[in-house]
Amino acid sequence: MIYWLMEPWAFSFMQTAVTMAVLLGFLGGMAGSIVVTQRSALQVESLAHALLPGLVIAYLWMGRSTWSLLIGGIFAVILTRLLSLVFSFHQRTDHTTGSAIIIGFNFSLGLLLYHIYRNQLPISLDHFILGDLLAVSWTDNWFAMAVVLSLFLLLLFFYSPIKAFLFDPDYTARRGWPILTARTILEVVISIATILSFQSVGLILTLAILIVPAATIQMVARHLWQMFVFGGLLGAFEGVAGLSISYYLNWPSTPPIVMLSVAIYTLVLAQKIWKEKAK
Amino acid sequence: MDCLLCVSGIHLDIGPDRVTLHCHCEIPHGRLIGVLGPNGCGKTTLLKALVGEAPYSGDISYFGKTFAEVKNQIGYLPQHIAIPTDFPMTVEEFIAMGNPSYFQLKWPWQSNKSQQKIDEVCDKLEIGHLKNMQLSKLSGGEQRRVYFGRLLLQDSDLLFLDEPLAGIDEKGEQLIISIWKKLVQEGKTILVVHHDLETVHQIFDEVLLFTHNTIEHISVTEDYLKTHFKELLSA
Repeated sequence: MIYWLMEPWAFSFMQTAVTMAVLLGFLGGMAGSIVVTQRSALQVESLAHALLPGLVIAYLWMGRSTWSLLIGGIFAVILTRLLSLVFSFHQRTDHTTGSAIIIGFNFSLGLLLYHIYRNQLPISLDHFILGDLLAVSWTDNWFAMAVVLSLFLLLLFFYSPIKAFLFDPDYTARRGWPILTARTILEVVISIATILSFQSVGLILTLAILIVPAATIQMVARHLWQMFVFGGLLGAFEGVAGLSISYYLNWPSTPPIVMLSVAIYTLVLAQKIWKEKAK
Repeated sequence: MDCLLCVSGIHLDIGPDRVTLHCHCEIPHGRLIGVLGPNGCGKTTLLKALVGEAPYSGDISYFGKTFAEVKNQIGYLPQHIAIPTDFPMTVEEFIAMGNPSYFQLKWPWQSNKSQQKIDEVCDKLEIGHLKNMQLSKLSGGEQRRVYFGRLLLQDSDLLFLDEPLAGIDEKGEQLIISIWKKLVQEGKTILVVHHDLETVHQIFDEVLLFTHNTIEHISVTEDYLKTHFKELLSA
């Protein structure tokens, strides 16, 4: 039994994949807590979709490397922010509708660029859309580890003002704390989490990795720090468990992670409803 | 006169129009002042302008300085408070935000020693039993009390309260009014947007009265109310 359980971890591709799954799960839980409390899931989705054209351009320019991921990510953030700015000028279009339009535009632009340059690109469209957790290297892992640790320390140091900003931005501004700083810190955390997740789990499931663990913990958390910490731990657990399922059942790596996290979310939700009805 | 807040001839965006409000108010330390006027006359907009949240032109000075210089000495309780229903936060955590050193950057394990002050505020407002409750579970009246608690911890010299007694029961009202009066004795000045004409003279000695795009700073007596006040407000 123990041999059966330990079997997948003997392979180096599984060791790198599980390390990345833990890191992404933890980062996703943390960043997802911000997304969930800000109710900005659609904005994150628009950023994830902007990564498609961003990465196509970056791969064409500098090949496949960590740097191309960074350049593609910066392009995506700039593109999404510019489009949001255009929509916010008139205020005729609400936030949700604006984000939905941006998602459509970003994805179409990405598909078009991919179609034009597909013969010069080092990876396929499937890779962009579905990701490949099993293809990550130890270099990717070390890079991700440094990023996750830095973001964790950043959130820890700015915890009080960030909590105040997430809860009541007007009050935070009134107390003289620079809103732009708070917004920038949160945007950096969310953007980096999205970019890192995109590389491994693809465009479609990035949002799920970010949202589901945080939304699960939100139902039972009493404090924001519990969402950050336990959302991160739950995300990490779901990463390892989902990857194991994918190994034994010979499934693609990411869907079991997301399916498992949605199953846990549903269980917690059902327990919550049952508890409230019992009162 | 030792002028804490001076407002003269300001222009505000009230509804779709920019309105000129003729006024010259010099408000000293240690006053409890009602802000009264008919609906839509600009009371809330004036308060928002005073806390830098609404555009205006004209002269407003605080302690002889600009708003940017004294931002941290001003407390504001907005008319509408919207608490996100799914944000995990206890009452105690919420009140702690009012701590003057709350926004100083520090690691979470570096204590800010505000627990005793939070307990004092909760005792004053008789909300000690709510301390560990989730903010979203409170009733409307309890939420307003808790918001006022955060403001108390902030220890501002100048307070702007927009209909702070809405939804609060009679006992709670008396408690909060008695706290205002104590704060005023300590030298703080409080401006309160108020609607209940029956209780104006019991709470305030003076009011800022909005009539025909003019703000009058007048003393309040029961006789004055009986003869002129209702007439002025309905005008």
